[in-house]
Amino acid sequence: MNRALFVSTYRRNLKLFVVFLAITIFYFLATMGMFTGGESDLFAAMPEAMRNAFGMQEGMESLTGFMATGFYGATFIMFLMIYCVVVANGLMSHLVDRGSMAYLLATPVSRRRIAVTQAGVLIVNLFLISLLTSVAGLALAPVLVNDAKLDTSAFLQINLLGFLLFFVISGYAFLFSCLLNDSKHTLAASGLLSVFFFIAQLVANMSGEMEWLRGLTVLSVFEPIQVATSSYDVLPAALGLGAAGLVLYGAAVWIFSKRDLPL
Amino acid sequence: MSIRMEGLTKRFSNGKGIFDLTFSVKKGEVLGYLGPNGAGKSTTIRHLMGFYKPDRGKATIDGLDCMRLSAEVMKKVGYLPGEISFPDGMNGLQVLELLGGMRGMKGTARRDQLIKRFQFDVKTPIRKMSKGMKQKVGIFAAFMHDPAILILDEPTSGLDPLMQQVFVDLVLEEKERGKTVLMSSHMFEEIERTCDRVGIIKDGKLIAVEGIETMKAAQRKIIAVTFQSQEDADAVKRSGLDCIKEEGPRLHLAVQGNYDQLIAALAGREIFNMDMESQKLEDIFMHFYGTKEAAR
Repeated sequence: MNRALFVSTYRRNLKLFVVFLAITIFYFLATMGMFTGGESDLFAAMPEAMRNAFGMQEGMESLTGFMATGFYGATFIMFLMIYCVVVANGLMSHLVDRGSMAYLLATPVSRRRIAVTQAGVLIVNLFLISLLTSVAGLALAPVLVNDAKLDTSAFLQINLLGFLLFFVISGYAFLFSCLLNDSKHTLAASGLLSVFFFIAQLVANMSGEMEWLRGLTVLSVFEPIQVATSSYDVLPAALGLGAAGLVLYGAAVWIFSKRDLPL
Repeated sequence: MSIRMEGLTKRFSNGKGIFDLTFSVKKGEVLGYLGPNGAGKSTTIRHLMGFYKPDRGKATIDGLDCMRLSAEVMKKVGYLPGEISFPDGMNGLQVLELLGGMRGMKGTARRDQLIKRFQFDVKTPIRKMSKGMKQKVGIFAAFMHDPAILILDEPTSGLDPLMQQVFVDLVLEEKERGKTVLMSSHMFEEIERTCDRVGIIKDGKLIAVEGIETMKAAQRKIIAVTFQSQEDADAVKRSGLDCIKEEGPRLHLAVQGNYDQLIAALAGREIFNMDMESQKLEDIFMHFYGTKEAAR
């Protein structure tokens, strides 16, 4: 980590972070506001195939289950995927593409430290989004919902797992960003992989025959609904995601420190 | 303190690159690195900065490998890239503060002195800066930590003539203070006032490294003289000067060191107008480019 670089990069990413944080929390609260206690809620009106696609089967009658389905199942994932792809690109690939990386490398800060510092900004912001969403959820549930019974432990586990999921997703986005010289290629690579993961998850949920697709998408490790109904073993999933994220970030930093840079 | 390249080779997939470069810049010396665009000047410099890993050979600064120990090397180096591009969303001062911070610099006296010298409003947002303004920020970034070694890629591009002069003075001062400088350019005029020696590169190969006096003597200039009368023009044409082109009473005379002969031939003639023609590097140094060509 280099302090001066971290502060500068953080400052330049602040606007986008605040925008995504605000949208995420807004959607979170809006979803929570729709909770009616199980009867005639918004999602019940959706066709069954669509509900299956988003993994809406069970546990909808509890607030935690409702949030797991209505927010963490799709909206949360989509928003943060976009955030990861865009920000990871800006942290490395964009600077190499534009040539500004030359200035950073012309200082006595090693490539490894530059990459670790830039990665740090993304990881810290993803953590803050999860943390602040959790805080907002816990603080505002009693205000928005009559008789709110948010299962604090399950809710925090969903958020922790959510953060770790995005540790992995940002990990591959950052890896592409460290590997590719052209910003457009980086956006395409991490964007397409993310879309593939998302669609594979949808299709796998929709039909029993396509269940095997779950093996191809990292999103299947994140099971917010099962966490909500306490039918999921969170610890191995968390450890697996954490390890995968570390490997991806480690590889990204290593590659960046070794390769030729056309600056 | 010195910059060394030994057999430095890098071939890109398009067949271009740099091939078997061996030369050095001694401590306290200013070396001009001349070549047309695309000759491999920036590629050479990028190896010194540790951006590229050579296929063969190596580049060292003060004995430290430029790729492996880049971070260590950068403590001593000030670098001005050929293409100036700062991170977006910052102003000039923020860029300088970021780079100063990454260097762990404490004082800003020298930086502020430079800013004053180049008469620059450093708080201008980068995206509103002209090329010349960005070039100035790049110069501040390269000089502000008072490095012992300066690596400058086309340093005066984008600067107006006045600021070019300010820059030349700055380089001369640094030389006086014992700094080692490698400065690339595609124009001889840009470096001739500051350099001790000149290296010439063509198609990725070093074709000459000579002292500045030798280079000046080898320099071929084209002088276009318009005479009042055709008789004067004809007389000068017969004087033994190399006349490469004539348009009525206007003669294009090639001069390479034989200025005395030119002055003698022109003395007493009625001259209407006189221009120095700008030429391509290959034409200025036909001597070097030419002889190599013939040897092949």
